[in-house]
Amino acid sequence: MTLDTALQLTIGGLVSGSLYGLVLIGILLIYRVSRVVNFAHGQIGMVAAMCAFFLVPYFGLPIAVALGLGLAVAALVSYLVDILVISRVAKIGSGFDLIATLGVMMFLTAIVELVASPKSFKFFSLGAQIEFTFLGVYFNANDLTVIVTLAVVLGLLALVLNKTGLGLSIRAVAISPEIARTTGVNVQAVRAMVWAAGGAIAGVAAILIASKVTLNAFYMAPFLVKAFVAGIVGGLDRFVRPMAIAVGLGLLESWVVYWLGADARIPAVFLLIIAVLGVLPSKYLQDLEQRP
Amino acid sequence: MIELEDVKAWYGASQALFGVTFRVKPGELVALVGVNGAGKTTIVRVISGLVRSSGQIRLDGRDITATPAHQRFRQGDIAVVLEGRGMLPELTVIENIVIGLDGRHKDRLDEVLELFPVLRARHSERVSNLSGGEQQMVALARAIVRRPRLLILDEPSLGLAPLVVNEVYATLEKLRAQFDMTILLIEQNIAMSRKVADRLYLVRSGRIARELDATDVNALESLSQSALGIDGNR
Ligand SMILES: Nc1ncnc2c1ncn2[C@@H]1O[C@H](COP(=O)(O)OP(=O)(O)O)[C@@H](O)[C@H]1O
Ligand SMILES: [Mg+2]
Repeated sequence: MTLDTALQLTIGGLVSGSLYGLVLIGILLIYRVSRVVNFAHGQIGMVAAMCAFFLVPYFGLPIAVALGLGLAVAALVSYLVDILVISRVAKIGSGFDLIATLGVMMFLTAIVELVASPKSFKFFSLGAQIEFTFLGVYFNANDLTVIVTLAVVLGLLALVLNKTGLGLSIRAVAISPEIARTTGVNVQAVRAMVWAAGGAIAGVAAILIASKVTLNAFYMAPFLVKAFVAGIVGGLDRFVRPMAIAVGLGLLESWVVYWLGADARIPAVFLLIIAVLGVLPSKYLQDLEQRP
Repeated sequence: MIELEDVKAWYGASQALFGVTFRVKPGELVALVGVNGAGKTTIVRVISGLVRSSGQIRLDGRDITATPAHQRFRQGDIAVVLEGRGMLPELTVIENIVIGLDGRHKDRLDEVLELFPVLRARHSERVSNLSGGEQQMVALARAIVRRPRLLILDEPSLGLAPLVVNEVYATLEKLRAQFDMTILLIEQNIAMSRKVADRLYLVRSGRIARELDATDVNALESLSQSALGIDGNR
């Protein structure tokens, strides 16, 4: 294998890993403040891509405007899921929130199938046709956009969480909603805002993913699954570790596909999980168990 | 200032308060004393809006029974030092103090740090690195920066060494002299609370069993020994 090939595989892996990471960010944020595993996250992102895709032909909007509107709709849907469903269901008891997010996932899937008919579409290419080579490695603008977007989203998030009053409230709610309340934090409002932001980030991820695959009601599923794999193995109430695992999964897949062929992709991911959980020092596993 | 009338409270199906009625007048320092499990913390949680309850709670004559928890604290009306100090361990000392202020009242922060020199020196450390006594100071600073008219303290001496308890109480007296506050103090430690309180209520089995005058030394001493099993002269 040449150095060029190795670099090429690494870049390809980084791109898909970044997409898993982008899907994962919102899952982690929402889990932190609401303690809810949001299975609807991928489909909320899909709503953004679908809206943008149909707004362009039907209303003659420029693509950038349609993408912006799509993100706003995904944020709104995620916000509504929290205030209309999750905040009520959480009071009933644990477990119901899982059913609720699964229900929302199926509901959004059904609506999109109904409206868009069960066809597949070719989404906007978002720079995929702009190609260049650098140091013998092939790039396209779409791939670069993915990596830059992940960096920008992470940067903005760090800024908001660490430098603003809202960010402090979010971190406090993640640690103890009750203590946060007694300092005047409107916990319900903070949660709803995080759901909205999570929905918008899911939209960003889903739009970028749509530009690489065929668009239908189910295209987010494999990405959601891998984001969850990284989240569960890395820990849903951590941040750096699950995000690193998400990117690592992308790299692993890229190399496995090169050596063993595309059929090996999914078995490789799950073999990795088993290997990781079997081989890791037991201290790490205890650490996983002890978390609330 | 704060009045509770026939307050009942429940944790799920089990009832913890059975009709609690008492009042604290403006400027007073009133202590609620009673053994573990008597319902003292539940009274704090009811006033804070954190637990399901019936009856009426009035703040300055205004019915706040239906007011959401965060609004009771946001208006700067009530501040609470929670049982166990209510620290957010992963956050810094400063973050633990300014949480909920949304960037307002930056000027007050300086003033508060003036009152707690220990905290000024360690302001950007994780609060979990601080000792219990220092964390209690953080809890007091968090309350004071909100300029509450009513300050509630739930067992501020819990788990602290006697010398540190004295320090906490000295600080409380100093704050009371400097700021115009009404104080509701929860204590198991009768000896400590009677030194500072104007009046005391004995809480027993989810009810107010007796009202006591702080000068009523005899009644208090027999209480400390019998009802509470605590040495009143400690
Ligand atoms: N979270 C809770 N769930 C169920 N029961 C509780 C809870 N907190 C307190 N209790 C019960 O309510 C009663 C009063 O407790 P509490 O108000 O904490 O007493 P105190 O502060 O005087 O020690 C006790 O019987 C206690 O077991
Ligand atoms: Mg208590």
